[in-house]
Amino acid sequence: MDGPELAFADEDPDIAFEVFVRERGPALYRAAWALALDRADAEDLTQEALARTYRHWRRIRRADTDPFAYARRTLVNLRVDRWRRRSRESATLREYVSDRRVPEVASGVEDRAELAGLLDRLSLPQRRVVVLRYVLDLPVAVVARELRMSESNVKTTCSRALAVMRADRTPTILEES
Amino acid sequence: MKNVEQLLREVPAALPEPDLDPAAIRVRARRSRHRSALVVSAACTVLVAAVIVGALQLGDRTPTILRGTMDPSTSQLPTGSPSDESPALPVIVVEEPASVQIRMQARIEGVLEVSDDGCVGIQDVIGSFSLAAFPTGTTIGLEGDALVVTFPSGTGVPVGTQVVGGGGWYNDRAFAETLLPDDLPETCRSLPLVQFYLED
Repeated sequence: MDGPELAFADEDPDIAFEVFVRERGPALYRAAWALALDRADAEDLTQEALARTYRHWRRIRRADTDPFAYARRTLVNLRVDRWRRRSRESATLREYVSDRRVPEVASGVEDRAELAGLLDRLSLPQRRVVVLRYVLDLPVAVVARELRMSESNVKTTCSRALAVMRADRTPTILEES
Repeated sequence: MKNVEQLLREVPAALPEPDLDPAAIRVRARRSRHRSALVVSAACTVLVAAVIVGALQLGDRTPTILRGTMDPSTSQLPTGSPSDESPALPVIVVEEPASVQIRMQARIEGVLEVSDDGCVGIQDVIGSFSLAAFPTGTTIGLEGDALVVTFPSGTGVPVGTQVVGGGGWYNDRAFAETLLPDDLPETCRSLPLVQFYLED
């Protein structure tokens, strides 16, 4: 969810940034996980996106730009960079291994593994749209603006992505039943 | 059984809280800035070496000067503008005629920006900010709400504009220091310095 505009302590950028990290960091992390499908990568991506946001913090605030929007765009672009450097299969595999090593947070692991598998089948443009639209719960118009797409293109991409995910889910259901 | 939309909304929301330490992130940001400066410095070293080798090989060949272009609509970054609390204009570095020995011939591309410390420079495509040394006669001023750098040719370029021009980085810090005004903020003084000009 985009959430209400945060009130920042403009006189101290460090304090304002701390508020921003506390309030918006978890949402960024959720989006990062859905893009990277790996908790360690997601944490790294989130920290990098936040670090880049902090580097431009004063200018972002001076220009009255929403820092969360800036961080979201940075995150998506970071993922694009990294996507080209590594295989999707290895990322998904690491997530399974990672989950099994941490039994205390194992609740929801099955759903998480299933969602990771479904997201892994999407193309990068489809995944970016789905993450912004559903994971961050942004309106179509905002997704379109942030990804520089038309609203109809966002809707079409979303629809096709969901169809792929639903289609890929069917064999799993049959196997389980 | 959850449907796909439910999975997308509920599964990420149920992830364990990430370990995000603002202090560590600030340190990471500062290190990243330092790394970017090192990369630019290394790239400049290679570039300067290539220019020197090229000059030696080409002798007196007449240099070509890149035409400066600008397209305000392509600006991707938040633009800096003076706040109500600080009416002073950003600092602009202008090369004195006697100090400029050559016009470097590299293609410089990026966004004309104002740094956090109020110095005008170029933000390149990888996000590194360099302090700009503009040709003699370049000025900065407000036109309406826009902060505009006016080149000697009379061309006004609003801050935040994507620019392409000629120039090059000053790799010799000692020489670069001679170009910088005494009242330049210390934080700007440590930035990479790039000569930047549009075609006259």
